[in-house]
Amino acid sequence: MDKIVSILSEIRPEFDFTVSDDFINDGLLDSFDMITLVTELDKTFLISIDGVDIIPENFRNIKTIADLLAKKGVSVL
Amino acid sequence: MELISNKEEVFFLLQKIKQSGGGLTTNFFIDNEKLNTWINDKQLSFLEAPEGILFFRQDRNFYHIYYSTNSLSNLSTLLSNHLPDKIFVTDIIGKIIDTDLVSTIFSRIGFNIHVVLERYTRINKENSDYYRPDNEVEIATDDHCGEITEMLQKNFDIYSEQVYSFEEVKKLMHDKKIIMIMDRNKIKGILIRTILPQSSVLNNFLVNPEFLGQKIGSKLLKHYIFESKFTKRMWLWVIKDNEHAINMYKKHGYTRDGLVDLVMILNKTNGQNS
Repeated sequence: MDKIVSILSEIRPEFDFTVSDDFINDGLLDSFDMITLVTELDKTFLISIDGVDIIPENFRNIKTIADLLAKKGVSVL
Repeated sequence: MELISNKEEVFFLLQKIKQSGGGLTTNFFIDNEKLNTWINDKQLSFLEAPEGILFFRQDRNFYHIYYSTNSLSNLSTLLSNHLPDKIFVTDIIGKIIDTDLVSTIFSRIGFNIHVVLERYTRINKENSDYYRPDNEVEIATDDHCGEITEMLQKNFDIYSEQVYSFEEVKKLMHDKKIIMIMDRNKIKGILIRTILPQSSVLNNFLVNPEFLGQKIGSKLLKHYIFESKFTKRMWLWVIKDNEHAINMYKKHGYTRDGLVDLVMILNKTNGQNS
């Protein structure tokens, strides 16, 4: 999980991602940040997140991002 | 062009592209709420070709294009061979360096840059206490719905800005998203904003031309910054050449963050290609 937090903090250093359960509705990430996040996750975990998975629901909080990574065979503890 | 009837159809089409190999090149970033509205209002259609899929959203007499393909060369063929004779608008959003390749493809088939928007961001710090609420600023109510809709439709560019319908303005009012400054019986200026717990977006900002030079814009902006003082990040899009607005945003702590939106237009009606 720390790795996900660290990637998020690089994209938006002004926010504390550990205190929100809803990055989208709390305003921590916008649609453009989501694309940057997908690129960073692809690069970091050597995966390719499908276009159909690039929807707000999958980037709502650290758990949903971890679930998305798990779908790609990446386990983050 | 075939009408999209449900959300699953969109996912199915995107998945087909992805499965055809080579990754996904797209400017179709799904926002569920918007997608549902477009489908319910029968605004969204698509065109499927061997090179990929084009989605079209009808807006007045023109169509916004969203593409999904698996390579830039396929995008080029898709646009060259399959666009019907209509007026098209597309937004190419990203860092300047990333938008160059895609915009070149659109240029080659006849799209022209209509306007360039730049994103400006303000990170709120302790010194935001400088801002105070302005007594002249009030929340717009239903009584002003017609006047605000008319102001937006008269002064905003339909291709590059979201020009709201009467119903949309009504919804914004119910959500208390519009603040304004009134003369006795006329609106001097309005500001539409979305304030979330951690960030704040300035959606639209307009000073009635009759009241220019009275610092209406500055008062609305300062009030809005005060309202957003508990957020950490504020952002907005502004036309690259609008020096007056940019100077005002800079004065209040906004800086350019490197993201651009190239709004490109192609008119294929009446044999035109400009």
